[in-house]
Amino acid sequence: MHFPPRIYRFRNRISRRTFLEACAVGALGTVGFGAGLAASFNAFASNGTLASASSMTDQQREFLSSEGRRYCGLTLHIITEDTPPSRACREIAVREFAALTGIDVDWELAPLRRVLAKTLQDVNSKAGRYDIYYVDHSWLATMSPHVHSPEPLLQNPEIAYPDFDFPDFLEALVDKVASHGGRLMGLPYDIPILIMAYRRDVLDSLGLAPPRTLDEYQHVVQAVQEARAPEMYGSVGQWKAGHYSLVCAMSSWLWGHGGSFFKSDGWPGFLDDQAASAMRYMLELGKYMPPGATAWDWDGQGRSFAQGGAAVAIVWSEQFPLFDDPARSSVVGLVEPSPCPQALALRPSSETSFGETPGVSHQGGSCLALSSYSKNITPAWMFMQWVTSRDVSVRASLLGGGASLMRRSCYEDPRIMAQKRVGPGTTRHLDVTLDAITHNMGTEPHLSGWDQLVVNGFGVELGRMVTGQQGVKETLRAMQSAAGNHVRNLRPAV
Amino acid sequence: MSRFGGEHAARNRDDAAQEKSGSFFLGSMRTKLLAAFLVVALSPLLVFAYINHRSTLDALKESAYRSLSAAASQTVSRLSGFVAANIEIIGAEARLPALADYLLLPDQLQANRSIRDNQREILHSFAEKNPVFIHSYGLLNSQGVVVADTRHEKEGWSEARQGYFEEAMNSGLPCVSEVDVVPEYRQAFIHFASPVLDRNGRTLGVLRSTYSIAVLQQMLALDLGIAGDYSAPLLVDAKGRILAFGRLSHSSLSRYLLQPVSTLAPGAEGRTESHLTMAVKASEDTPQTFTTHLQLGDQGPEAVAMGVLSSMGWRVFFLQPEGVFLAPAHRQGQWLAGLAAAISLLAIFAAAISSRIFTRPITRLTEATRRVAKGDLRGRAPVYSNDEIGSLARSFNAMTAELERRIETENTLSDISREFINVPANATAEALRWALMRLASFLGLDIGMILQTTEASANGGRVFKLSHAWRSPLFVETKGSCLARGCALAWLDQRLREQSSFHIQDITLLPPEADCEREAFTDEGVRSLAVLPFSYGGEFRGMLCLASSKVREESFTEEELRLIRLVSEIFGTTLERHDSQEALRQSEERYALAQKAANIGSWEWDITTGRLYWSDALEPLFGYEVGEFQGTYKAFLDMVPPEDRKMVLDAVGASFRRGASYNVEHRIMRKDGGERWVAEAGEVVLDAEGRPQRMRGILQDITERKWAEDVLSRLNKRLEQLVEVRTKDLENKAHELELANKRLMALDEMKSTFLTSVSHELRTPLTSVLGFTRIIMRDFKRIFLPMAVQCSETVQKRSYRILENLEIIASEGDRLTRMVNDVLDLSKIESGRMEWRDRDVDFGKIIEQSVRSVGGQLRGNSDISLRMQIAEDLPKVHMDPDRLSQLLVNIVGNAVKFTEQGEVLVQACSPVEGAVQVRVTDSGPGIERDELSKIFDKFHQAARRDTMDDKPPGTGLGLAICQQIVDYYGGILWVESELGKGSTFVFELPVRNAQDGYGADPQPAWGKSVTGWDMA
Repeated sequence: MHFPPRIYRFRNRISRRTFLEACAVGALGTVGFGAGLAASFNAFASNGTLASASSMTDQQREFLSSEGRRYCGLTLHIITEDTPPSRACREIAVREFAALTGIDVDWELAPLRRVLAKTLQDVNSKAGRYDIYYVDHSWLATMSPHVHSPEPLLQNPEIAYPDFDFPDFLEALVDKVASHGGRLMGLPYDIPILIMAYRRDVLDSLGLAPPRTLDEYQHVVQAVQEARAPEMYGSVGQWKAGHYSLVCAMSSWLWGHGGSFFKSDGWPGFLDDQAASAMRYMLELGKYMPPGATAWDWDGQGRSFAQGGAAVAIVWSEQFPLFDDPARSSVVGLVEPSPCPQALALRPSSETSFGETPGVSHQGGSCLALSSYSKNITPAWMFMQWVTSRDVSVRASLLGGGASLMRRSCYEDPRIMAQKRVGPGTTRHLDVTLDAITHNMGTEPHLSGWDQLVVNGFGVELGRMVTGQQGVKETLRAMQSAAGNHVRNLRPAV
Repeated sequence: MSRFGGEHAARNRDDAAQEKSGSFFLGSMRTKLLAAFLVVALSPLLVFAYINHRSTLDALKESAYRSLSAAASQTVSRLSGFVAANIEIIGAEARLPALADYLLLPDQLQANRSIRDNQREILHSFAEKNPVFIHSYGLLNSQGVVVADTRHEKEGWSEARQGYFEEAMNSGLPCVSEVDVVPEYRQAFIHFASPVLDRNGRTLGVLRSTYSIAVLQQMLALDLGIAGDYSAPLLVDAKGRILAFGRLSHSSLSRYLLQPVSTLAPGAEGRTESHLTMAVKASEDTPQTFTTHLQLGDQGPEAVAMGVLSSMGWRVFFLQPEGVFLAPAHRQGQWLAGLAAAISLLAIFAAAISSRIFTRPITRLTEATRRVAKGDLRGRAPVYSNDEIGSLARSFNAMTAELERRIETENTLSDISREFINVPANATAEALRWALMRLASFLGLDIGMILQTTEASANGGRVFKLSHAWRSPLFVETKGSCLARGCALAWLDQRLREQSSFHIQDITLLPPEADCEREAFTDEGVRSLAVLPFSYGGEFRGMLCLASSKVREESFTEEELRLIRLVSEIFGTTLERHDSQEALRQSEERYALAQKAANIGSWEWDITTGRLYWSDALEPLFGYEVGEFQGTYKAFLDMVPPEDRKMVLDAVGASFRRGASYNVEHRIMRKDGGERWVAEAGEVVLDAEGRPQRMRGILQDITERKWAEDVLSRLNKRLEQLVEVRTKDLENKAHELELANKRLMALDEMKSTFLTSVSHELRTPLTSVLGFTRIIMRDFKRIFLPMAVQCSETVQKRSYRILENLEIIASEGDRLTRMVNDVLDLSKIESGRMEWRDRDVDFGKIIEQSVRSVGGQLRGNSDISLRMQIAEDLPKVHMDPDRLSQLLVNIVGNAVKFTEQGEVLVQACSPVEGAVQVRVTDSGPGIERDELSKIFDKFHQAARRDTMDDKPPGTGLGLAICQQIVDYYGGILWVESELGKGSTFVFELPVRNAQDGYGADPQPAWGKSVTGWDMA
């Protein structure tokens, strides 16, 4: 079809016919532009799949096909927490590792408490049902006797995964997540860590800057609350009464105020001003949270924030991609990551016990560890190397929606860098995450039975406090008592 | 021009105001169409939007209430499950044998630490199912004493009076307590209790678990938002106390915990009381959904759905601000508003286009109309179609063209009129020529001429001479033509007499009798001609000829003819004014000459400038050369001798004050030192506000008159002395006359009284004499005469002689009676004692009766005929009929009496100028001239009675009485007579009605008559 050229001579006036023709041309142009824009978005969305394509080297493939084939027909059993990265890893592993090595992978996903229960059951029975354990950092002390340290395996070049590059793991993670008492217990697997997320649009509209200190944090949440409640609260917490998430939330403020769970003599550290200040600060923040916060763990907190219920929150870094996912978030592109507020004072690790490292960015990392009772140590080690390798970590992170990364090189991977934009599986929070890991990471004490103490002791007492059943002092005394009773028999080991 | 400009500006202001008001108040048709489009387009949309919005609101409310009801049910289920589960649990836990075994132990063993710790461990294990909210677990013995508890401090407490203990002990079944506050903990709790039984079913004690009611808040927090944004459950116990509210945090709830539900809405207690509280108290028929207001919401109405936890008597109210779930409707309303706005824009766009299509011809027509209204007549309205609007546009264009033509006509007329305003006489010819040019050019003609009549021609016709003319520059001017010399245009003159104006299309086609005209105008190069006469001073003075060198077939329009007529009138007026100006100029020359001859000069004093202007005649009077005096009024006063100066100033000052003119005579000192007398007259000329503006007047040299007056004054003084002497003599004589007059009046009074009494005394015996005479005559004729006839001749002769004597006695007696009556009547009239019985009477009828009365005298006398000629339309007159009859009988009787042969004619004419005239003509001997002035005197005829023996004797008072009667009624009576030819007595009486009356005015005349009577 041929359209004759048209010359529009508008000069100072425009005829009605010319105006209508111009409008029609403009409308067609707008439709075309919109269609093109939509196609661009679709094309951009498909990059996620492309980005998750494997970039394994030939050597790595050859290693797996040669060394792994030795154990063809074997089935490795692993249990991990049911998290998006774990689901991504399982998907990759089941599909690719079996294809590369002939080794089947039986990857069980379960809630964290279930994982712990099954793991403890396995280690108590020494049945060796699982070849690879998922060891949360709070279980390190408990699991220490039951895992096979990978240190000797790392020294064995015959089963060394090509370009595995163990030093590439972030040292802080190796130290705090995968080691206990100086002994390497496994390979860092995931590293949820608290960072701050804030609503840029809300703070801008109110003329507020992202808080950098604890005082600023309190001021900001109060200002937002006063300006926007009840449509929006100042903050939201993972304050589920009696839940571990409540203890995690509390730990940031405890450490940020210069306190710690334990002091250097191995006794609990709740009966000091820092702990009291931390508790009061925490309760003060509770005034600016939705009423349901005492019934929400981290998932509830994340959903609330994703639905625009709060302006500022201390969230797990792995939750951040949720905020940019249009399918689950109503604040897409409006949330910015930021380091947690700077601590008022930070108690040195030397003044704590049980490997506790104060830091506002509480970390909840875990590692994969070889079961001491496994009969497939070598293929399991080969699998652990593969699954924590750079390529699989990056792909799992991308497929899992922007999960945190263990290796420094992963933070610089082009695929990770390319995903630093607003959208599902965003990685634009990883810079803050890396900063939190390297500079502001807080690590709980590594002592046996810590998981029980945290939930039944601290979680219950804190739950009573945040539900108004008891005050700060009573809570601290109760926590001191519970912790004291717990460590009474452990103190000599400190 | 200024008036037109003012109206134009006013009209523009009106238009502007109209446009302004029209734009604001939907004045234009386009705006109205636009408004109509919008109404048609938006009305259905707004109705639909309203209905849709209302239905959406209802649907959303219904949906919200369903969601809230479901959420309330869910919360109720959760709470109910919590209660039921804990009752069941504690029932199961109470069946633990260890508990019964412990309670069966003696007190000493129960107090054993290890045994008690074991019990505590058991209780702790029970509490671990909800360690956060289970405050304590306790074991109570049958007396209600706490024997073991997870909270050691509670051991030894007595809970025997607690309801749950009694219920568990009495019923033997697990139960739950109401919410109560434990003072020691300053917290509210809810207790679950179950009896601990031994193997025989005997109740040993009670197992009790104590929950913090924070658990309720925690459970309600889980249901926060399940019915939608900002939806939250509110838990109220049977007493109306707040137990939990999902919208509050635990810390915030402490303010409201266990408070009446109305505290949630301070300031709106009434409404809350009437809803939430009533719902708490209400029965089953209470509405499950309603609306309320809470302080803790957005202050707006909140939808509430209620659920009942029947086992506890609790109410769960699930609330949600209506603004939240109605937000979609509000958004929809906004969308609809936006849609309405978009449709409005589209409607406006469509309406604008449509109305433009519809109204463009009208708009263009309106614009053309406005241009015309603003004076631009060249604009034309475009014709877009052949419909009514197109027809209207064509008609408008035709009207505009006609209007333009008319305005051009008016402008032409205006230009010509202006040209003649104040045109001086010496410029009249040029102005006329210019006007001819303007008029002829406007009409598209080549020649304009004015032919004036100058003199009569030899045959009596008028001669026309070309006085003014204009020819087109392309036209060759002719000289010495017939018209320029003057010629008689008889045919044209006749046409002008028959028609006021006419148009000759072709001069060559004129009839033969118009040869002179054809030749004259052909010499001027005229081919077609329009002629209009003009006149002034009421006389025809000439004609205006507008001509063309070509044949002009089309006739002039009415408008053109009107213009030509008006211009013709202007020309007439101009020429009349020109003549008047010429006459005035000549008059002024004559006036100046007269002034000079009469030594009169005029002056004018401009008060504002002090300048004094003299006419040329004054300067010689003062000894100046003409044009030499340039002074002021002061200079004039300096020439007035000091002794006269004050008099002059006083007269001028009085004139100023009164605004009246003044006259003063005074002396002046001439430049050469001579003295002259002048008469000065002056008047003040006032301005529009009544202030003196200037003074003008004349000065006349009266020196000679003053000298004559001086001589005359001296003569007068002498004359006055003589007059004074004479006056004194006359005054003496007048006094004597006055005295004599008084005596005469007394005598006259005495005479009237005498005559009245004498006449009365005479008439009484005379009546008796006449009466008896007639009786004797009757008896004589009836009795004695027949007897005498039968007697001797002598007796017979004596009888007839007696009868004749009796008849003489009767006749003379009648005469004497009439004389006496006449004397009485005249006396009454003259003395004013006559009673006039005026009434409306038929004048003609009175005449007839009177003439017949007199006619009786002529019976048997064929020598005299008595005729009447009386007009039929004689009016009724307001008079005394007896006096009128007396008047006529006297005059007619006189005529008959003095006529021996011939006729007596009585004529009465119709009223002329308010008076009726009666003429009585006889053919008698006539009256001598000397007698004419005496016949109306009293008793005059008595002196001539001897000469008329055969006539009835008269009293000599008849005509005098007639004179008095006519005088009384304001008429006149006279006689016309010529000796030997008869006489005519004529009287005229004014015709008056009853209101006018008589006698008011004649009284002085009556008085004069008395004087005349007396004089006689």
